[in-house]
Parts: sequence; C-alpha cells; structure tokens
Amino acid sequence: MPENEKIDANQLMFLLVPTVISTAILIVPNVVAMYTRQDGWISIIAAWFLVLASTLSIAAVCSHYPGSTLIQITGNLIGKWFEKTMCILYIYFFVLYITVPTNEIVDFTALYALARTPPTITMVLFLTLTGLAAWAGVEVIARAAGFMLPMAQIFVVIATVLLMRDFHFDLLKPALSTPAPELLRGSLIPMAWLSETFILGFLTPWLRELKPVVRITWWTMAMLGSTMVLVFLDTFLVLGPLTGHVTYSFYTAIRQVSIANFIERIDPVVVSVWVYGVFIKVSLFLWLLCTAVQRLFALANYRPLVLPTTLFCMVATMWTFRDAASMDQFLTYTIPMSSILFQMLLPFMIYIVHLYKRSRRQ
Amino acid sequence: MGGPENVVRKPKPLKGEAKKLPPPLQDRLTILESQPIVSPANQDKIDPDIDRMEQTLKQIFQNCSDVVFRRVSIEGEVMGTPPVRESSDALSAKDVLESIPASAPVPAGTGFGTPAATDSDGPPWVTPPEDGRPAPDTRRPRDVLIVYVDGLLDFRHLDDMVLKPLLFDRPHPGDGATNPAEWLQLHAVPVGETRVVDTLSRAIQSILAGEAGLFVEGSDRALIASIRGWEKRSIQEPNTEQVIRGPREGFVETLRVNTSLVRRKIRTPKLKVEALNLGTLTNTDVVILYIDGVVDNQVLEEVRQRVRDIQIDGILETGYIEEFIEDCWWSPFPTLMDTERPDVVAAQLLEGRVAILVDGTPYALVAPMTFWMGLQANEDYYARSMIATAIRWLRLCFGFIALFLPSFYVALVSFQQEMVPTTFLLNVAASQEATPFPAVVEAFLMEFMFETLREAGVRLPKAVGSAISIVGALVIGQAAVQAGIVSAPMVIVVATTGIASFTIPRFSIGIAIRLLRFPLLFLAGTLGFFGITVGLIAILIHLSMLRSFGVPYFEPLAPLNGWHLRDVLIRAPRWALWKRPQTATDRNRKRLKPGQKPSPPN
Amino acid sequence: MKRRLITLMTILNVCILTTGCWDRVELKDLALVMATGIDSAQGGSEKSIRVTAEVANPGGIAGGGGGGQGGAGGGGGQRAFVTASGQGINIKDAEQKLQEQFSRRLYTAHRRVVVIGEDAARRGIREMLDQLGRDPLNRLQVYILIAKGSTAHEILQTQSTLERIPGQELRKLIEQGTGVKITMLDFLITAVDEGIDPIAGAVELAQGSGMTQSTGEKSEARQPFLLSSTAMFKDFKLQGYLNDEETRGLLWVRGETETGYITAPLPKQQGNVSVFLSRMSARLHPVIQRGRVVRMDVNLEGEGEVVENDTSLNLGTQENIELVNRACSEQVRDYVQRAVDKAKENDCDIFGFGREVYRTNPRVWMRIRGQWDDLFKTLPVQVNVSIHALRPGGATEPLHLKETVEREAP
Repeated sequence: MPENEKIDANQLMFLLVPTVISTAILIVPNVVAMYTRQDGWISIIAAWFLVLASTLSIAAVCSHYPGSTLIQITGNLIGKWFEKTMCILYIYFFVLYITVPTNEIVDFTALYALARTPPTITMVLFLTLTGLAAWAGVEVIARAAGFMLPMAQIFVVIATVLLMRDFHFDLLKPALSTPAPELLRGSLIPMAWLSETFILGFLTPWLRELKPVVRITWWTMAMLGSTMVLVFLDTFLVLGPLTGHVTYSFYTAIRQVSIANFIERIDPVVVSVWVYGVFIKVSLFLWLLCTAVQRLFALANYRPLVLPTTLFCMVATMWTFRDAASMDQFLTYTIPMSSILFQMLLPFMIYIVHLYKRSRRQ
Repeated sequence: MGGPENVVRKPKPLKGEAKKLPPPLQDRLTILESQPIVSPANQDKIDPDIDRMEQTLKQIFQNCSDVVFRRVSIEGEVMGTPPVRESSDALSAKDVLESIPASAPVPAGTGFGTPAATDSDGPPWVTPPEDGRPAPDTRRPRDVLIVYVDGLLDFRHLDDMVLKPLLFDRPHPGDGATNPAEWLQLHAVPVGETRVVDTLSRAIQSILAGEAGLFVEGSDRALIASIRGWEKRSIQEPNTEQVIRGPREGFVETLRVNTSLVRRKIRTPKLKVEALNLGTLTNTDVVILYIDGVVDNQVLEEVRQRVRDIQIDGILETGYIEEFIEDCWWSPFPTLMDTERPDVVAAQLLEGRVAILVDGTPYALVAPMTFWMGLQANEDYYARSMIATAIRWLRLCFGFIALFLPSFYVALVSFQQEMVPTTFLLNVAASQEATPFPAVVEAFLMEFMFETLREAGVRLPKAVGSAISIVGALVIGQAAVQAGIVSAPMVIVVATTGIASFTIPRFSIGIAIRLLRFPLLFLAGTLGFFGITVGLIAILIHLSMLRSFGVPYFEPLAPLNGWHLRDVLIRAPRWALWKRPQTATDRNRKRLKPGQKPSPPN
Repeated sequence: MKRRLITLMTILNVCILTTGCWDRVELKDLALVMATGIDSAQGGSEKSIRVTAEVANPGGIAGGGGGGQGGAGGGGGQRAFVTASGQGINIKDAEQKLQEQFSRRLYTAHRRVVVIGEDAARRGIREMLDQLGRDPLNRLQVYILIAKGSTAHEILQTQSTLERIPGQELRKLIEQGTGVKITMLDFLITAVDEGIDPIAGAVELAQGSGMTQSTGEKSEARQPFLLSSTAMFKDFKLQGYLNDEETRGLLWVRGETETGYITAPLPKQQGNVSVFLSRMSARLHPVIQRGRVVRMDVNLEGEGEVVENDTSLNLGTQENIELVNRACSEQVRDYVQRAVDKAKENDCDIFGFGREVYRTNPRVWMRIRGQWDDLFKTLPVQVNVSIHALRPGGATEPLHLKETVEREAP
C-alpha cells in the first residue's frame, strides 16, 4: 500500500506543524481570550500537556506496528469490522478537515482582500492546487512543507519583533486570576486544534524509519506549544481585552504593525504565509482522504481517486456551512468535542488496548 | 524524501522509451539508419584492388566536389615478396582474412630485423590472391590511394606527414605488420593518431570527419590518419558567462579542443570520456564526461541510456540532446544546465555530475541540475566566501524581484492600496491620474516592450544594438511617461525588474523566471495578493515535484537538508564544503579533509 | 498526467478569464479619505449623524510627477483636498450619502484621523465606534480627536499650514508628541478594560496665534490647529476637558510620555527654570486595607537636565539643583493633582486607578467594581513626585550674569 513514497522523520515534523498551526493561529487566540482573557497562555499550556500525552501514546502504538496506520492497527487489535467503521468515521473527519480550512480561507480572503470576488473562485483555485499536490503525493507535500516551516517560524518571530513596540506587558496582569473551570473551558479549543497531531498515526507507514518517531513527536509538540503561546501573547499584548471581540485576532494584531510609517500593513504577507500553511494542511488531508478511501475499497492506487475527491470536496465546501457564523459555532462548540473524541480519546483507547494485549501476550 | 543519504535514486524512465513505435515508422527509421552509403555488392568491404576501390569511392562520393582523391606509388623494393608461410592458427579468421597469410603478431620489444619475426626483410605479408589469381608482382610500385575532404584537414600536414614520406623517404621494410595498411601505420606515416579500419563505411565516416583515408593496393584494410585541421575559432572568453576573477577560456565548436580543455583541468585517468555517435545523417560525435568513482552510477547509467536512445537524423547543438533527455518538457525550468566554460564543467564533474559535449557547439550540458545551480555563478567559488555569500543573497533577492516585482506592484496599487505608505500612495496616485490604462495592462505593456527590446538587442549587431537601447530608453522610458500613456512608477518597476532578471547568472533559469512573470502578473491582476500566493504555491509545488535524473530539483531546500544549505543560502568557505552534494555517489562524498580551517600559528 | 495537468490548467484559466477581476480597483478610481469628521446633524432628528470626509486630490498634489513636465496631470489651481458631508442614521449610511457625491470609491484605509464634533461627543459615540473598527478596511491605528468647541466639519475645512492636507497635518501634529496620542485601538482597549475610562485628544483652532503664511507677496493670517487638551469620556460620552498642564500630568501618570519639559517657578529666586526630562516613569500603588481601597499612591520619577534658568542660581552646586528638583516636583504634583481633581469632578477614572486595583488585587476589584464610580470620587490620591536634574545643561551659572558680583551676593 504505501507506494514508493517515503518521508523521513524531519519531514513528519514539517508536515505536522503547519497542519496544526495554520488554522489554530487564527482562531485560538480569539476563543481562548474569550474565556480566560489574560490567562489564556495557561489554558494553552494545559491543553498542550494533554495533547502531548495523547500524541505520545499514538507514537508509541505506531512504532510497534510498522507499516500500518492507526486504522489498521485497530483492525489488528480489535477486529476487521471495527477497522471498517473507524475508516468511515475518519473519512468523514478528513472531509471535515478539508472543508473547514478551505472555508476559512474563503471567508478570510473575502473579508480582507477580495470582497467582490465570488468566493467560489478562490475556493476552486485553492482546492485545485491542493488536488495537484495530493496527486503528487505525500513526498512532494512534505518537501513543500519543508521550506515553509522555517519560513513560517521565522515569520512569527519577525512579527513578534515588529509588534514589540505595541506590546503592553501590563495587560497580562492580574496573572492567574481566572478560575479553574474557565481555564479548562478555554483549553478545549487549543486542545482540539493541537490534537490534530493525531494524523501522525496515519503518516507513520510512509516513514523511512520508525525509530525517531517519539523524538520527533517531542520536537513537534515543543514547536507547536511555543508557537501557540507566542502567537497568543503577541495577540493579547497588543489587543488586550479586545482580543476576544475580534474575529481573526492574531491577524488584527499584525495589522497594527507600523514602523517608521513605512513597514505598515504587512498583513498580506501574513495572509500569504498563512495560505501556504493551510494549503499544506488541506493537501495533506486530501491525500489522507484519498488513501483512506483507497484502503477502504482495497484499491491499487489512490491517484485516480484524487480528481473525484477534489471535486467532491469542492461541493462539500460550498455545502457544509451556510455562513461564517454557523462555521464559527461549529468550530467553537462542536469541533472541540468531536475532535477530542476522535483525536485524543480513541487513539488513547487504542493505546490501552495495545498495552493490554501486549501484557496478555507476555 | 530527503535525509542526506536517503535520496531515492530511481530516475524516472523516459516516457518514450518504453513505448514501441508503430511498425511503419520503425521501419522507416531502420531504413534511415542503414542508408546505403556503400554499394551492396561490395558488402562494406575494402577492395584490395585499388582501381576497383577508387571506382567505388568515386561512386559513393559522386558530386561531392570537396572530396579529393590522390594516388601515389610506393617503391616496390621495400615490399619484396615475402615468403609464403603457413598461416598461424593463432589468428582468427576475423582478424585477418583468410587470403592474407599473416605472420604471428610481433611480440613486444622485437624490433626490425629480429630473426624471430621474419626471415626476410620484406614486409611480412602476401598480396591476397583473392579470386585465385596469382599474386601480382610485388616488385612493381604499389599504389596508395589517399582520400580526404578538402578543408577538413590540414593540407600542409598532409603534404609533410603523409605524402612526403610515401614519395621521398625510403620506407622502412615492414616488420610485424600483417597488412599493407598496418605496415603504413607502423612504418610509413608519421602521424600521431592513426588507426586501421577494415570496413568501408567506417573508413568513409572517418574521411567525412576530416581524416585522411589511405587505401593500399592489395590490402583489404585502410589506414586512417588523423590530420584534421579545419578553420576553427580560437579559444575566447565566452560572452554569456564572463567573470572578473577566474579562467577566461571557453569551449569552442571543436569537440577535441573541448575535451582537451576539460582534461587539462582534471588530469586523472578517472576522468572518462565516453564517445558516442548520434544522428543518422550528421554522424555527430558526442561524448559523455564523468569522473569514475565520484559520479553516481545510477545517474550515469540513466544519462547513457537516455542519450543512446536518441534516434534522430541530425544533432546540431546540445539543445537537440537536451530536449530528448530532459525530465519534464513542459516545465519552464531547465533540468539540464548548459555552460560554455570548461571550468564550470570541471567543477560540476568534481561534484559528481555528468557532462555531455557535442561536436560543433561550444555548449556543454551538465546533468543532473538543481534549481540553485541556476542561481550560482562559477565566480562564487573563486571569490572569497563572505563576498560570495553576499552576492548570492543579492542575487536571490533580485531573483525574487525579477519574478514578483511587477505583480507585487500591480497587486499593491490595484488591490491592496492600504499597504502602500500614504505619501507614496498619493504620489503614485498623482502619477496615475492621467494614464489611460489599468495598472495591469500598463505592466503588461511595459514588460512586453522590455522583452521585445531585449530580444531585439540580442539578435542585432553590436553597433545597432546600442541604437536600440537608446531608442528604447528614450521612447519607452521618457516619451511614454511624458505622453501620459504610462505612469512613471511603472517604468521604474519594469526597469528594476529587467535589471534584476539579468543578475541571474544562468540564462536558462533567468528566462524561465522572466517567463513566469507573465502568468503571475495575470494572477495579480485578477486576484491580487491571493493570486500571487496561488501562483507562488503552484511554482513551489512544481519545483518540489521536478526531478533531474532522479535528483530532486529543489534540493537541498525542498527535501530540506541542513548541511548542504551551506552551499546554497551561503557560500561557506572552501574548507567547510568538505562533502560533495547529493549528486555524487554515496561512497565517495568526501572531497577534502575536514578541519582545514586556517588559523594563525600560536 | 500531462493531459490531466493541461486540462486542469485550462479549467483554471477559463475560470479566471470568464469571471474577470472584481476586486481590482485602480488608484484613479479611488477617493483616498485622509480624515473623517463626525458631527451630530444640524436640524435633523436626534439620531442622525453628519459625516464629513476629507478626500485627497492627487491631481492637486504637486511633486507627484503626475504628467511629468508638460503632462496632463497637475493642474495649478487645484486644491490638494476636497471635503464633503453626508447625513445618515449611522456612519455607513452617511458614508453612503457621501459616496453619492463622489465619482470615485471612498477608500478609508489610509485615513489616519477621525475627528468627532463636540456636540456629537457629548451625545455619545457608542454607536460610532463599531463601524470604525469592524470594517476591515479601516485602520485601528486611526487617531481619535474631539473638536473642542466646534464641529468636526469646521476643523476639516480649515486650510492646513505646513502640510498639504489638514488630515495629514492633524496626524503629524499628534505624532509630534506633545499632545494626547490616542488611537482607536487604545480607545477601544480602555473602553473594554476594567476600571479605566477612555480619553481622546481634543483639537481646537488656535485663536489669534498670529501664525501667518505668505503666498507670493502677500501674507495671510492662518488659524492653526491646536492640540493641547484632553477629552474625558464616561460611558462613551464626553464629560469634559483637561487643559494642557493637566494633560501633561495625566499623560505622565498613564505612562504615555517618555520625554517632556517641565517649567517651574522659583518664587524666592524671582525666576523660572525649565527641565528637560529624558526619562519619566510612573507607578500606581493602591493601598488596600481590609479589603478596601483606602488610598491611591501615584509615584512619579523623572530624570533630565536643565535647559533654561532665568534665576540667578548657580546650578553647579548640589543645593541649587536640589532647589530646582523640588520646584519641578512641586509643579508636577500640582499638575497631576489638578488633573485628578478634574477627573473626579467629571467622574471619569481616566488614570486607570480602578484598573490598577484590578491588576494587583483582582479579588478586591471583583467585589468593589460595582461601586467604583462612587469610590473613585472620594478616593484619596497621594502624588509623590521626584525629579532629578542630573545635569545642569550647557552652563552652570546663568550665562549673562557677571560672575564675581553674583558669587558674593548670597
């Protein structure tokens, strides 16, 4: 099943980080600040620890079953019927993860850049590109992600430096004043986005060697955690209590950059970097979707599936959400629960079963 | 893809080679290949009868006014009748025709008059009594027919080295030669590169390549003496790749000169120069150069395979070959590098790449190519590392500018006006107030004009070329602005872009970038920054997908490889570049002893 | 693969070609709004708003190199800006009315100044803020000014002096640093934050400043903008103004100035000294006893050098410097105290005393936040100022005085 394509461990990280960060960066600061205001970073760190546990468990399971994805591992551990059910569920999930970021792209560009362009155009263009990348395979996506990641990280740092002038460190006071339940509620959303690292379990069969998976998981999580916290701080130190009121708060914060009346409104650059990140994410999920369908029907090659799947995703993107508000609601209230179930609890359960079986065998 | 040792070396097979051609076409190709340059009656054999031979040759070269036939006679006494001997069983029929009673090969070290070789002082052969006739009297002067193409060889050389010895000198008695042609080679013709051929077609090929063919009466072989000497360009500094510091020699149109230029730089028997002959009509000499043990054999095999598979009537330039063997014909980016400089070829060979040289053109092909090779000049490696790094970055920046500036400008002034600083925007607005076109159209117009000017300047003779640039600068630069057709900032943008695109050292990459500017401009004109981003992503994905002979094109950036970035993003000092890039074979990647960083003695 | 790619490309191109370019708008089709003024409508109903837009006229901006030397661009007589007004029930509505008067699309992304008429500000600006922040084109970095004693319309129509466009002049006036520099973002943050009331700069036309501008031979009198006072808001309604001295005190306490000048009289020496402060810091310290805020300590520190001294003091000695320090501190304390008094009077916690309580004692704040308005009015504020003139400037003794005489005099 894995064709000749192979990625190496570093590339796994290059794939995971933009996949998680690109969408999280827009929504997380805003939603977190809604619940916990200046203590949002604590929420993010709390979420980070939980996700770290679940991701490490996925990594541990996967490195025991070389050559099989998380779904196939469940098949091995629990049963074939369960594998098929899981496969269908995750296919649904992948479709969701294609349509939601695509919708975000469309909404975002419509709001900030192309108000009069029909959103269908941006959507079709974007999904066509991702389709091409998915057709090219995970290797190419990984390569494309490889030079995107350093770029994006450097960009976040540059943004921080540029925003430094507008930071009001007093805004973080009073620290640790938010009650714990609020903190937990605030950590749901970062948890939902961070736990997208679960696709690790779907990428391991393509890894050239499995040994460094756990190490790479640590690296990935470290990068994700630091970037998330940095982004949140960037946003909150500039916008303060306003963070929760603004739709795309990190972006709004970036818009405040104004240095010497010359470096100002650098937001289109941000959008470019961000679009690139989402592109990586969506093409990765598109590729995952195609390979999952391929596996479900036991096909020889996933490539013929790419075109119909892309077309399907175009339709799905137009169909899933009526407007930005419904997507916002979905993202804030539905996604956290389902993603915690699918991305954290289920893998964790698999881990437990795996441990149990192993102890029985010994 | 991409750990240092993990590049998948599986070159994609060419699309065409797997497919069998349809039968009629295949037949025609076969016919084309075996065009009857030799009459079937003679069966491609060299006739010992010199008269018949001359007849045949004249028939073949009918209407070729530049082919010269010259007949000379050699005194017979040196070729006294040798004793008829039993033909030695050590000789195979293939080596010596049955009609030639040959002596055993002369053991090394035996000279003239060694009793072991012969027992007479005549040449050790007997004229072939092919058709059962008695052997002709060997005492009579023997005729030698010299055939050559006028203008392809050095006639003074011919006179001095071929004719003079034959006519005036008393040739040494043949010894150890089994054939009159061999005797000529060993004893009579003082020319460095000679060889004996036994088929007519090969003899004709050599004659057409500028060598002199010597047909001797009574021999079924011909001697080929290489005294080529046609008018050729002297070695000059190539116009396309000039340097401030570095060797100033460039390839010329003669293959041998070119290989010698490389050989002079790399003096090792490991430098292999594999010869091939391509083109059913042109019979062009093609050589594949590589350094054995450094080159990756899989890449080499792939290059060989692809070059060998070419079936074409003629090769006039390396471009012919390039189009047959490149990986992706529809990409604007070249997957083979072309260069005119022997030092570049030598440097690439040392990095484990393969070069292809073709007779008749000063351009060499280097494979596999990566994107970054297009942004690097050979001078980067001659200048000091800090300077080279700075210049590389400058080039990188201007590469970006060449690709993006017009579209960026268009996206700025007609989509995201909020990004422009207010005062600047007001100035731009003031300048655009009177122009009739939208910014995109303006940009298209100006870019188009610029490219036209550039193209016109390339083709024209130098004297007219400067006139073109004056007209261009005056008409397009100033008049268009004054007439209010184009806004002044646009002229600045286009001019900057134009200059920027010339900073890219390799023309083939530069032109690709210049070409991509137009779709990007179009995208920027329709979708603004989103369009540019989409275009950028498309380009990057394409670059990540491309491979050149199995090597990722965007390496070492796209399969990210930290170590090798030191020769891409920066140009690390020589002593730090101790590994060959991934194009080299895995085993022989170390090119110098690490740790040679200079430090003052304590 | 090739074929599929070509098909895709074709689809893509057709998509783009058939649909055109919707968002492309040329600069010559944009009316760049440099400043917007918001007034309550005269004569209209209670709710209606009058929006004045000040639009840059690129044709009137010389030096833009428009049509070159002989080109069709820069006409001589054109003004660099155009103003127009429109009335509506909210800002967008009024802008819509404005748009009906312009041949080009109004483009607010380059607007740097929003001026709000005093009347409108007193009625409340709650309804206006949303539009200014929501529309993605609008910058949150736009400066908010209140037209003190006049309407925004009047301010925006005034011929600017040094800059070509009044909007630019206002912006540079704000950025030049002496006055209040409050952007939309600052305003919104203070409005949303706990325990602080927003302020804004107040601009007025300087009466009789004597500024003249000569055009050719004749010189005409100009009324420049004057940015000295601060407008205080409570519940988005303008409550009152602080004058320039009080503003200085306020800005220091809020930590919004980094450098500044203080001039203080020395009555005993019959003269004044001026000190340039190159470092200014402010620290608020709420004194809380048994869960109640009993006092607010305001600690201000400043360092700098003497720039003017018209007394006869020799600033080379430590005692004399100490005198200067004390006088300056006293002066600043006076400024701050007056500002605090005025703020209390107007019931606006513009210093963020409440916010400081929230930041240091969130629990206490949560209990008292409902009654903060009353607490603030009666809150004792203790202002401690310490100013250090580190250097006497370029001279120790007054330059013009005879050395010997003065040295023996005391």
